[in-house]
Amino acid sequence: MSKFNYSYIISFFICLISVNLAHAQSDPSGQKRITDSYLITNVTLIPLPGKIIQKQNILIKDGQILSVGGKLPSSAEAFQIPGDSLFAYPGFIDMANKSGVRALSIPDKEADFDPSNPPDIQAGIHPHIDVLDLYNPSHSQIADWRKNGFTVAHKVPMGQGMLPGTTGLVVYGPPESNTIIRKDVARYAKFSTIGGMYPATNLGVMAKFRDLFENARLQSRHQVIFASNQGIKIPDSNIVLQSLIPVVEKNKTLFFEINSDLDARRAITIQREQGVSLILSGINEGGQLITTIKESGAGVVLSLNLPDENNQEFADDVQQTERTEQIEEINSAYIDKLKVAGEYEKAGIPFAFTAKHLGKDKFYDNIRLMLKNGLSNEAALAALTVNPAKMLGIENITGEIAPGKMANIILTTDTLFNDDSQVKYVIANGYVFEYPLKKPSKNGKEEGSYWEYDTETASGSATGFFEISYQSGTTTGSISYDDPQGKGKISSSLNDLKVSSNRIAFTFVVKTASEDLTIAVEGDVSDNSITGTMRIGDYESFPFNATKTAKPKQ
Amino acid sequence: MKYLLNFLLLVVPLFGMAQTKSNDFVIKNGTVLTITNGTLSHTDIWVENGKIKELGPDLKVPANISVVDASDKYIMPGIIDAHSHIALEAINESTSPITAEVWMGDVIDPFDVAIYRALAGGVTVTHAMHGSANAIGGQNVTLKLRYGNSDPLALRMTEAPRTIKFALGENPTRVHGRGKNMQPRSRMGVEAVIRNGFEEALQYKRVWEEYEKAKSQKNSTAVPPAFSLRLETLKDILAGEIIIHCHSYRADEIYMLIQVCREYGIDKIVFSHVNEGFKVAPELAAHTMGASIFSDWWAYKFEVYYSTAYNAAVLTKNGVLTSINSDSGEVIRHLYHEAAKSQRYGGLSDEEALALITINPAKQLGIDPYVGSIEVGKQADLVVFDHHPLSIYAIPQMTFVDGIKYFDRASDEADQRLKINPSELIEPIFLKEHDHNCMQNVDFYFTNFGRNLFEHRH
Repeated sequence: MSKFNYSYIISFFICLISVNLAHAQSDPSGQKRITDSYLITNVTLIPLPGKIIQKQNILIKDGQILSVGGKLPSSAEAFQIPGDSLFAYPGFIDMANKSGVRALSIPDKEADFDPSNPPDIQAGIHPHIDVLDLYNPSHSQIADWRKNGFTVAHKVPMGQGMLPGTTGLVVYGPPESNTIIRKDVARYAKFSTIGGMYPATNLGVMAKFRDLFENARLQSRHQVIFASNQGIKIPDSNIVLQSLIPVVEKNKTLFFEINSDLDARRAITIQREQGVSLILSGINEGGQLITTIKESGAGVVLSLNLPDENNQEFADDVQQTERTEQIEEINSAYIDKLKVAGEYEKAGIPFAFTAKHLGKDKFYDNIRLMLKNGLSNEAALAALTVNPAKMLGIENITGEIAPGKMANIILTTDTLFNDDSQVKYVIANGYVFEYPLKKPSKNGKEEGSYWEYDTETASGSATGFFEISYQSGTTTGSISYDDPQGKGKISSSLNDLKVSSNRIAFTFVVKTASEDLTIAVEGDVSDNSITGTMRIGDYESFPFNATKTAKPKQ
Repeated sequence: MKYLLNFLLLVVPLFGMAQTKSNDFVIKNGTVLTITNGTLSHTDIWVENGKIKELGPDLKVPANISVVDASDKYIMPGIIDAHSHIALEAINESTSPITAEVWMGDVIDPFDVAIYRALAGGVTVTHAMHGSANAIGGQNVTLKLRYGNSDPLALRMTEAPRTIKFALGENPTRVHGRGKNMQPRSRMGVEAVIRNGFEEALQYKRVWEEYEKAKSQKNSTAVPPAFSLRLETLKDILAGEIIIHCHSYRADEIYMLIQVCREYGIDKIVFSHVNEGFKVAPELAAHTMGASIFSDWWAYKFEVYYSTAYNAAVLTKNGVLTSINSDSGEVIRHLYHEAAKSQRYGGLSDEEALALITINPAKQLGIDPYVGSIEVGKQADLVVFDHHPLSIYAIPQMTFVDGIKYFDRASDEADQRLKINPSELIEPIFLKEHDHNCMQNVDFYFTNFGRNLFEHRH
């Protein structure tokens, strides 16, 4: 009887293992690991920006890159990843990211709370709080960012306040593994307040910075005198000031999140007055600011977030000439924003990127927009790899693909920022994450697609069809809907049509008895379905879903 | 809730400021209202390197110098607004009854289109002030309206001495007393807050002096006391290094602060608004740097009911250094009209009336050696008018700051914004409710639609 059981259990395990092996072929979780040694063979390698080598083999073990070269290394135990037709890039580094970080829970206010002189912890002044104590590596957004190719992130604190805590470095390996690279990298600062207490505005924040830094110097001086003399009053051990002493002594960087040109200049004022070392994160403006930043020597982290393109309409009573002029003006302001990264490159300022405030689906689209507006491929890659590594002082650990570096690698199906390129594998700290590839949806392979949609508006549900056609490089479309002025279906052509492998957006005009309504649709495309929203004029948004269907024969 | 006005701006590409910049030119054959030296007809003003080089009829100037023909035109010094909140991102740090440590120079907004509108009203200098939420508010900054600069500190008039905002009466008592149940809750409380602040500053000064003295001894092991930017600032007020500009309305509180200042040896104080100033004119004349008032603005709250449009004339005739300010992004566009009202109400002379918006505010800001009149050696802040500026028909034609033309009615474009929102075709214009006025950043404020519409801020 016992024998019988035994063999049963064994055969059960064999089944399990084979299932696991089967899944290891496509494993976006990175959890079902069968080995810690991998060999990527015959890959096109971009070890660092501006360099490309064909037919390379990369051997990985224990999270490290062991060897890189044209000769196949002998490594019997390594799991082989065929790299033929793939491109290997260093994993991206996000210079400021909050995914997985929760806000510090602040103690309740005391009964005698004085808003004109609140305790630091309540006023958003807690630079000593360790961001990684509040970090959850299992957060779903981290998997999303990894899927885009991010393998290392500089985590910054959540929440409001001018000095919310320290920053820390993590690798996007599986949450069960050790994901912490380095704690206490810099002190995070921003022009932000809690509200309802001092400081409440940038006025108070600037004054408070000056006060804190000067008192940190004085506390340090007191401690030095105390340490080497007798009969000295015990120095105060204000934890806030204590954590700012390394900043005023230039041993820790002030990592300043900014949201505007004027924020950047204010942070530079602090840098100049207090003699601290500064990195500006979230820059989204160029122009005259570039000169000021260059002179300051501050580290530059540009925002990957870009404004939305204008899609508003004018009222009918506005003159046509005014409309044209105003639309030109706003479009040029929009283009200026797309040009910012290219401007910094042209000014010779090495910069990194932050994905903070950016939707994960917009990452590649935004990089491509920057590339179309003056940014070079090399600078874009550098901003995601070697530049942040240098700024963070981890260039000896990561930022490029070379022996002795962390195994942080992206394997793509085409050159990185190419429209059709897809991420096939992301390797973070030696853990392999594999992603299913999407079938290309356009470029002549298909002549078009036909979709049945349904939407739920305030006045009831509506259904219809729309069609996208690709002909000699241009994309056109039309949509059918219930005629608001009569019976039956009518159709309109699609305007502002934008289609990518995972995103679709278009507008169309519906004529009603009283006005022309512009309907804007946008959504995520996955395989044969679209999930998105429909906005009617300036009124409201409604869900809009569609499934691909066969075009009915006329 | 914010009132939203969809304001359709006519849009024409921005004209480059650079093309109009020229430091050397001559304004020929104009009627020059010097303010300090009468009216000079058929007179040329030669401007070189941003300053007035020569003044007189038929000046011999270099042949190739650019010429502004001012025949039939009037030229006056750039208008100076001694109480303004334009070009600021924040106005009140209203969280404490004393916020002497904050500085408006940290929140200059060089992109505020109100700067251009002020230039179009002939204004060249504004005193960008903290709001009136606190008994002792923040330090102000004096700005030259160099519109087109992205660097906020490029607008700062570096020659100007430090100034600070004080506020008496209903605003600080409402914000702190009624709003947060702390001192000051009454006019008496306002005085106590100011006195306590000064006393604390004296103690702070003594502690630091003792430390500095001990530190200078050989082998000193003196440990430093705590630093307070707030008390440092109050200390500097007591040392006479900072001019107080005090928001005030009632005669009793004005007289109170005069007494407090005399007690602490402070003579650098200007009272702002001062609607009941006519009741304490002799005291203002004897002990202060004067009053900066509204022409005829009144009755917008209880403490402002006892007012008269004759205030400017009464104060002037009593020897009080008097200026007229805007405290508003709208009134700032026609301060020359406001000055003219002092002729209708009280019959001031042309020179007295124009002094209210030029040399007098310059004196109150401590910048009269540089601006405020048309004199050789002064900075070339000039406005060219088509009519006499005290005429109701007067319209500014050109405005120069440091000899650079920042406004020219002939090339005035429909859209003069420096920053265009890339996503909003029609940028929302927020009618100024409690977010944008003298009580900005103060949660608790009474509303007045008409006043807020025009950004009045007191």
